[in-house]
Amino acid sequence: MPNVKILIVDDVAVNRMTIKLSLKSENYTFIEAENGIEAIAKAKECHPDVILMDAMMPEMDGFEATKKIRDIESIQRTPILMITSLENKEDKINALHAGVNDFISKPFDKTELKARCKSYAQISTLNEKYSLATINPTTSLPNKMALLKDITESDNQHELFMVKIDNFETNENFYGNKIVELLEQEFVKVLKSSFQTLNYHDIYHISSGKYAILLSNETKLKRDEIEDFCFNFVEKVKNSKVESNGYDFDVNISMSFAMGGTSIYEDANEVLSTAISHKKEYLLAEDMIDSLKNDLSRNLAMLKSIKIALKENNIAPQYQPIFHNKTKKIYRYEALIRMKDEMGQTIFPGPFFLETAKKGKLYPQVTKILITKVFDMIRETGKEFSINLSSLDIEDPHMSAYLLQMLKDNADIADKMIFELLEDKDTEDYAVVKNFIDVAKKFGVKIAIDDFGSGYSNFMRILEFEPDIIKIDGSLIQDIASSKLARNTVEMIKIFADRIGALTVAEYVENEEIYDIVNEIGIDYSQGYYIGKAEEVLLEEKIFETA
Amino acid sequence: MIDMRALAETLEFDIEDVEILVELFVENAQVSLANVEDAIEANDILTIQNEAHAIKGSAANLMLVDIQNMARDMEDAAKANRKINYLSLFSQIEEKIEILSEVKASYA
Repeated sequence: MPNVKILIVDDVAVNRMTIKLSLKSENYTFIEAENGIEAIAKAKECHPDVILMDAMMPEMDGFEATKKIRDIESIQRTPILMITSLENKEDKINALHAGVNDFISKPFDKTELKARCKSYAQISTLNEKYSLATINPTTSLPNKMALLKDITESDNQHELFMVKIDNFETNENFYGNKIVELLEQEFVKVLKSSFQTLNYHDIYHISSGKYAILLSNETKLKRDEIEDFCFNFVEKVKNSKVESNGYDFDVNISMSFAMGGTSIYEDANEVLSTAISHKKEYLLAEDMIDSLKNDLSRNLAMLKSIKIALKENNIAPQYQPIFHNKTKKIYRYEALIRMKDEMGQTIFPGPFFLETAKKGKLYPQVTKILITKVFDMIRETGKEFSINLSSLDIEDPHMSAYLLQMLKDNADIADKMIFELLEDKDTEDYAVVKNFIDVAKKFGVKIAIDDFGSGYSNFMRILEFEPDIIKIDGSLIQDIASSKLARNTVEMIKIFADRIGALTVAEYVENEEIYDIVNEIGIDYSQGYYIGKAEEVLLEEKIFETA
Repeated sequence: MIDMRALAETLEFDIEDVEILVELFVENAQVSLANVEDAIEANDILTIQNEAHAIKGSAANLMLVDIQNMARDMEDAAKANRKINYLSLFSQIEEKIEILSEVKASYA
């Protein structure tokens, strides 16, 4: 054991000497004190491993000194053995109440004294290791381990704040460790004085620049109190400078609050991360967890509906007519996936439906139903149909193999199939997409670029895909009557499409005015409510009401 | 009379250590006794009690049973605030310690 220090407290010199001589074979370092007051001072100064304490002493007796030592954080864990001729049981009980760990009676047995000192010195070493493991050396605050222990030790509901100094890592790199450590020590003072009003149990140093404040069990804050406190504390820190070693630091912080049981640390920590990433100054866990829960239950409900619809065969396409502007005829339709709920009510699957289906791994099933039904329609009607494919479908090897197999199985009518490619920001491998397009084209499939003119479309890519059709984004068409810019863009796209030999489709043709402009520009096809909605039954022809 | 060798054996101390301890005990006890003498004169019962306690404890450590017992009698009496002849008890202890110091001296 490395240099064990024993503090001997006795007013009689011969007693101290007796102890020293008894332990002389043990290689201990001895510190001596003649009374309780001196004992406390020496203990604080030297941090002994074991204290051997006489009971009756002038100035301050061993009982009082023990009590005091137990209240001083830096030395409170030190084992205290009372060497005493006390025969009175009541006195011994009092000593135990004061915080004495054990007794050695006078006249003491040398062997026993040695054995006890050794045993308590070991405990002391373990205590020290434990303290090092649970105390942050920079601020001497308890650390994350200590916090987790405090949280799990009781079943109580806890209230926890977490505070992080913004860009702490940058400061650390810029100013160096020494100054930043001083900054932390200064900041802890700010924390202590500010949180004092909330009656906290302890402040913990979680990691560099990150702190947790656990409130004591009696504190039960109301929601607006928490928000007020967070707001005021953030403002206070923002509007003051923390001085460290002659440097003034403008400290900004992010903070979070959580209440609950044993998961409170994870909750507060996650909320703090969200606050930081969303650049919010503070965030309360109950807000975020509620919204997470809402999202989750919405997702689950949607997923359940999709599963039921798949099982009940309630997923079916509807067909929106694509009107040929020159001949005024309809021979093309866009097949759009629709889902019926348990009540037979049609659900228009927005992005949320697609997201959920993708996340729930149900999307391939949905696409398969769509393509099967569309081929049935082609065979039945002899018309042309388009379906939407995202690059994710194409990049998925199972899906693309399935699509190509379907083309092979329906090779005689594949030339009436149009694939509308949705540009996807997640497209990883354009070569794969290009390759798929080339194969599909060999079956006579036409390729359309969907939503062109917005999002991620770019001309280079379009040229590579050699599309047969360009579908102009609905948002441009909607504004075409009111916005010069939108009209110019559409005219540009038309010129571009002509140049590469692609036909054009205007989507969102909602009224006569838009329809007329689209025709004026020379767009080949119109699609939108002015022509017809998506229906289960095909709209054969469009007769315009004439004024 | 005191047998240093026997004491050393019983206490499992080296004989040199016992000499040091006894010498120190005598020194400490003489100071305590001087205080007791003053306290008896001043009728300061508390000091009598405390000093007797100190002598008792250190005597016990060195297994000086006679001194330990007399010191205990004195402490107990003072604690109970009994009117005994403290001076007589004091003289007996002083005598024992005087012997001890002489033994020590002759031994050296």
